[in-house]
Amino acid sequence: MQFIVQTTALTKRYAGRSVVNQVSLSVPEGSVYGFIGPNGAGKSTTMKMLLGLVKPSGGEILLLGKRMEEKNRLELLRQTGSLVESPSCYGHLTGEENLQIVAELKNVPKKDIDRVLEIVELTGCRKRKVKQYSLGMRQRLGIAQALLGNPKLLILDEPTNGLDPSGIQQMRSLIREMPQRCGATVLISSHLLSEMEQMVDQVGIINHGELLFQGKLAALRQHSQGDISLRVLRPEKALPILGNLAKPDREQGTFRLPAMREELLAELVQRLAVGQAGVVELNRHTRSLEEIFLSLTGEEAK
Amino acid sequence: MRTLYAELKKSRRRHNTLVAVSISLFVLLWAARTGGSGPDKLSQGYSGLFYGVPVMNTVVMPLGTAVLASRLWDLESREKSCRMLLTLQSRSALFLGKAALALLQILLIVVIESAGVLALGRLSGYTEALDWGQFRWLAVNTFAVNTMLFFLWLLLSIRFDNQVPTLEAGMVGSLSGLFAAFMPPMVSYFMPWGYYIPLSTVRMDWNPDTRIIRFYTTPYPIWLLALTAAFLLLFAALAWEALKRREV
Amino acid sequence: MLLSCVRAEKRKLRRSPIWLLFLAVPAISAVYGTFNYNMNRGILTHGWYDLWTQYTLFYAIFFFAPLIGVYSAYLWRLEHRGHNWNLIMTAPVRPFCLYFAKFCAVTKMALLTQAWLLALFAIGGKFGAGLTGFPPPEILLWLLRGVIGGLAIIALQLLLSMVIRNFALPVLIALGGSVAGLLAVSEGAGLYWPYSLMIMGMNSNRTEDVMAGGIWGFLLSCSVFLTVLLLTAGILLTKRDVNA
Repeated sequence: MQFIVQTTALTKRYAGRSVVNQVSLSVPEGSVYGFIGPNGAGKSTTMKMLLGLVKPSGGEILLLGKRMEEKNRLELLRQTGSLVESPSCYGHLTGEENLQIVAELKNVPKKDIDRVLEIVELTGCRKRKVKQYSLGMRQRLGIAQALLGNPKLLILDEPTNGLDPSGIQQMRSLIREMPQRCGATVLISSHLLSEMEQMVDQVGIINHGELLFQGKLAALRQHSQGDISLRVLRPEKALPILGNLAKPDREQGTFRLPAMREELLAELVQRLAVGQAGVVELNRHTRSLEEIFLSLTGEEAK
Repeated sequence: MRTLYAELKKSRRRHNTLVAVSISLFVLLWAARTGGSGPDKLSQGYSGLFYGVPVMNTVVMPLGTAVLASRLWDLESREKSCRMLLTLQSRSALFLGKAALALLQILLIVVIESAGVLALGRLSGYTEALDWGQFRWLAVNTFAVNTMLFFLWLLLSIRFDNQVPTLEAGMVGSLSGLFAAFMPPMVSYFMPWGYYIPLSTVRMDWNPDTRIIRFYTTPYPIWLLALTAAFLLLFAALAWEALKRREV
Repeated sequence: MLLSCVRAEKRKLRRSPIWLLFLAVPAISAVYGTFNYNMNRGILTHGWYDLWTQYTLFYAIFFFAPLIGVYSAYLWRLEHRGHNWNLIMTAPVRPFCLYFAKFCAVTKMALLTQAWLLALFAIGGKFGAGLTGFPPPEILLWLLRGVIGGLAIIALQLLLSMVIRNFALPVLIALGGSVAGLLAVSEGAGLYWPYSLMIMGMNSNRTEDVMAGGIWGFLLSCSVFLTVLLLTAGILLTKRDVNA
């Protein structure tokens, strides 16, 4: 099995308005997949459809190689752990009792509770009422609930939401280890790309319900490399070589080249050298991931 | 005035007014069903209502006002909006706003009930002359006891920050108030939530042999109304105290 | 699957404030019933049977359904708060099982409530009213029939609380339904209104059995209401999107 989650043209319409539009996700096995988009982009709705909480208006979902539909739903849920929106728990019960309820529903042996408490480092607070937990502890309890029963797939919706930097750090290492430690594939959503950077190996970027990019993080960097500025000593010789590829910049002797494949760039420099244009400076305007994200989602500050 | 306006805005789509209206309409429907006809019934129609409506109020109102009060507070506790609100308005304004809205709702209940009594009389063609004194007394009583209960339930809602205890208390109130009515008057004086009945001045005399019901009246128990008012003030003060002490 | 749902519901009921009401409502009915019986010994001559009417008249007519309403509303409120709908609906159990587990939990509470009432009835009759002998065995039947009649109320209240997402309103509806149920019984239309069934089952305003002979109509009505309500719940749970 290559992809743990695969959707084709997944669509959800509410009163004629598409909240999720033709989204085709492919989450490879053993990866941590970051599903990223601004608030209201359709992340939660997509995840809810994956879990069968919301019925799609169109398209198809394959989880663990099986179609997500009524007859497979329970079998698939048994192999899936999830945390949707914010953590769900019963405030008047202790952390341990909350896990007992979930263990009961998932039909998981009680000793698994110790294991997951250990993983999320809540062992010391298991006897405390959840009402008294901090937000970070609740999020971790939510993850513990998701981890019960060793699921093959973890679907986590903004698990870092509302956490302080150290909480985010903890969550990050926790999730990073998931594939090795528990053998799970993780699909995690966030509205912050920078937060995901050190955690995920695959990303999908969604906005206004449409998937704008999907692939490895490195590819995203490449995909949206910034412009290149070129300075030469003899612009008159450079001009015919560059043709209409480059625009002269404000400064005398500098040109602005659009992002291009590295082989192409190398070849161009070679030709400039042969043509004695006198290349003295070649600068790539690297954009931060955040800028890439903003330009992709079209929410760049104008 | 502005805080009342804010409360009104907040309660939009919460259907609380609808709840208030349905509570009172419900009592009326109930009263209408038990009214019956026949010259004997018609000649004592109003007395029958003045006797019956307080009993029905005892069953419906404690729970009904508990629903209104707990929903009024639940709005803030669920959304945790207290923090935000108290940076915008003083606690007293918040309290007065809620109280004013509740008073309006209770007034609405009383107006509908009273109008209903008149309408029932007209529609069923009661032959008994309406005793306006009794009519006013019933309206004042219902208003006073409802308001007193509202503050009691508001107190509980603020204290527990949870709808469940308030509702439970409302139910226990309805139940014990109804029972108290059939116990010696002394017992009912200890249960303010059942004051609808001891405050009523229409008594029933049922002759088991002839199966004839005769209504008669007793003097207005002004002191009990005063006691109700005292409880009202006490509960209002306690509720205000609870709100003041509440940490946000 | 259903069993684990039931066990999960049982855990959720720990430390819940509804036990208070569970204790209070029958207890108040008992105190009143014993007292009133003692006050009216002159006209009440049927011993245990009269005591029974005194105990259960108001309990069955006005307060059993709201009590069920509170139990049901509490169980659903736990899910309406937070985002617990997401939690239970992503558990690998059939959605209907979640509802039915709650149904079982409330039914158990109702049985316990009735048992508690029976205990109070025996104690109150023996020591409060000084009756001799034991409560007649029909009482047990009536209590049980009360629960059977109550099953439709349980299913309905759970359905209301599931859909309305508010604690208070369904309880008020239960009270309204009960009063309407009383009127329906007195008009002889009790079998057509779910809230009436409990009142009829409990036999709480007559000393001789209201339903002697007519038990099949009662059972039929109970099962029709129950089936329709359970089906509705099942359909709503599978067809609607979860909106936590």
